[in-house]
Amino acid sequence: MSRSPYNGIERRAFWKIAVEKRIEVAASDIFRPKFPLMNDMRIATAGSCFAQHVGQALKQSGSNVIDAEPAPPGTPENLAKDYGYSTYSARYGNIYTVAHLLQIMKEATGRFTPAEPVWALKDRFVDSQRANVEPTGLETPEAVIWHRARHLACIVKMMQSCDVFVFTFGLTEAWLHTETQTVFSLAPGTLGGSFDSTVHSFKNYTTRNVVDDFREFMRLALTLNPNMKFLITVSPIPLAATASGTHVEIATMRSKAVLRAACDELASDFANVDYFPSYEIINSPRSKGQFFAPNLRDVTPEGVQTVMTILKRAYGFEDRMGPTVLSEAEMPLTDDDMDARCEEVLLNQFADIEVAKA
Amino acid sequence: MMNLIIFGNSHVGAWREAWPTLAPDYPDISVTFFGIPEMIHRRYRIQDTGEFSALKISDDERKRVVDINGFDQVQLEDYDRHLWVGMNWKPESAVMITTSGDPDTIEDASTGRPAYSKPFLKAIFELQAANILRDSRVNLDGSIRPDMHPRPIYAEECQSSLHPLYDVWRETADIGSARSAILGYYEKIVVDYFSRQGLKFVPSPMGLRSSSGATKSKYLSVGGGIASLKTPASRGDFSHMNAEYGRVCLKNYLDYYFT
Repeated sequence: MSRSPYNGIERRAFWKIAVEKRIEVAASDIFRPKFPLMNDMRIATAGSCFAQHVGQALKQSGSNVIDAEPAPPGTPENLAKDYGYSTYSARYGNIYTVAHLLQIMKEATGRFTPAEPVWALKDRFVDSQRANVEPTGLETPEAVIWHRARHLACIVKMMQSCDVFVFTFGLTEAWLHTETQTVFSLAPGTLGGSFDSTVHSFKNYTTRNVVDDFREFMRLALTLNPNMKFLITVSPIPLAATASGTHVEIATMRSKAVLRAACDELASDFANVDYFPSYEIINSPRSKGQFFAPNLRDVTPEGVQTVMTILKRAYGFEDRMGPTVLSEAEMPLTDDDMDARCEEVLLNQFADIEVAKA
Repeated sequence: MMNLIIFGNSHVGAWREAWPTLAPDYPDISVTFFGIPEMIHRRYRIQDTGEFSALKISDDERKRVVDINGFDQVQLEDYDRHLWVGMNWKPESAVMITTSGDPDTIEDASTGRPAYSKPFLKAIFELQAANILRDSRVNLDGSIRPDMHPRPIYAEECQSSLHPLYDVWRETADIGSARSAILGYYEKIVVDYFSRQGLKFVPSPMGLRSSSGATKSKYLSVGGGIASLKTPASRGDFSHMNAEYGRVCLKNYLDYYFT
């Protein structure tokens, strides 16, 4: 009998066995952690909207998820989330691009000062780097600056105490202040500020950009905490809108491919970086699209639950905490709930305007 | 002649004690006091008839109220103005916030402590104000809309007590400026909220407070404080204030609303 390099390879390497004959992705050994997550390890979370679910699942697992900017004791959960609390390990809001993550780290460590730090929102003012954490804005630009300084100091404390930094890669598209290359979390004019084509410009990051930016982010993070590890994942949620000039479906595939390739390179190159397959679990043909809501963009509670079950199982949280029961999971139940803290969806308002014009 | 009734729980005592020293300055105002021990006061309501009375009260309790006041219920419609004293307004809930962060823009910007914006605090405090109003037993549909005066903020000595009731004051003793600022803002939001409901929430004058937001020691009632130095964890009494406190509050109220 002839010899083949595929002889002796473990069973999960074969589609026929690992996918075709195993309908339940949660039981398919799809993810093997590179390093353990123990309950006493301090975990920080950040990223795009989907990262909220990752953080919530880790909290439910009894993990020691850092909250460097907690809401006051007793604050109703919805109110806290309306103001950006209890969502991530610090009150930075959604961080969609690695370029933005890197910029925040540079700013927190005194290496960068963003242009247009304050945006006007009617007669009030918001932080251009996290426009959604103050729904009604603040009274003065000075108050915004003061709050940002407090926020940045909390980020430094968070990074110094963090054992594992969990980041969800969301988008490759961003809007910049052209002259200074300042990255914004949202396009100017969406939640404050005003778009000016002579001042602002569009950027669609490449795999090289994403890898380089995350490597630089890690370098800065490790100066604060040399033992930090990084768990990265790619959000399975498609783009709400694209400014790339291509069809939004093509732009989505391009964006996710870039991010996925960047994550692969990072996880391959660094022993302290691991990749968790959120994107694959939701988008694989095995799932047959069942984890998407009727709008084909939002991930259903079942989809979120499946991803998080695999995460918890892989790290042994279920052994330590007991199995996750879907009906008991504190997951969003409606599309509105899913979108409520995901301001990228605000781009849909422009689609509605265009439809009305047509 | 303006007829004013000041009614409520045991905190009415300081006001009543102060009135004789103030009365000569206000010859056109007649003041009646009606103070009820809190355990009994909790069952008192402003009835649809305008009476301030309790539906369920034992004979012993009724006798106790009569012994203090000479009567056990009062018809509020017989008075031109009504001030309900001693309402619980939970200032500790505001102080508690400073255990996790500062209101803006207290202290410098780089302490590493979280900061809470005014809009965020306003949202929290308005929820609390709604709870206070609900618990106050004021009937918004009734004909009597009393002015409301909250129970005193604890005297600053409470920080030396080891009783759990004062934990939040003890734990925030070192950040008095933040505590004072947040109490002031809390008070303002409650005042505004009550005003929108057609009610006057009358805070105690700022001059009664120390820089840390607590009531100054000198206003603590004789016998107040830790019950015994041998029992520092006893509850003691840091809430009841003296006649001078009552005088300042009453004068402030009369000057503000009647002159």
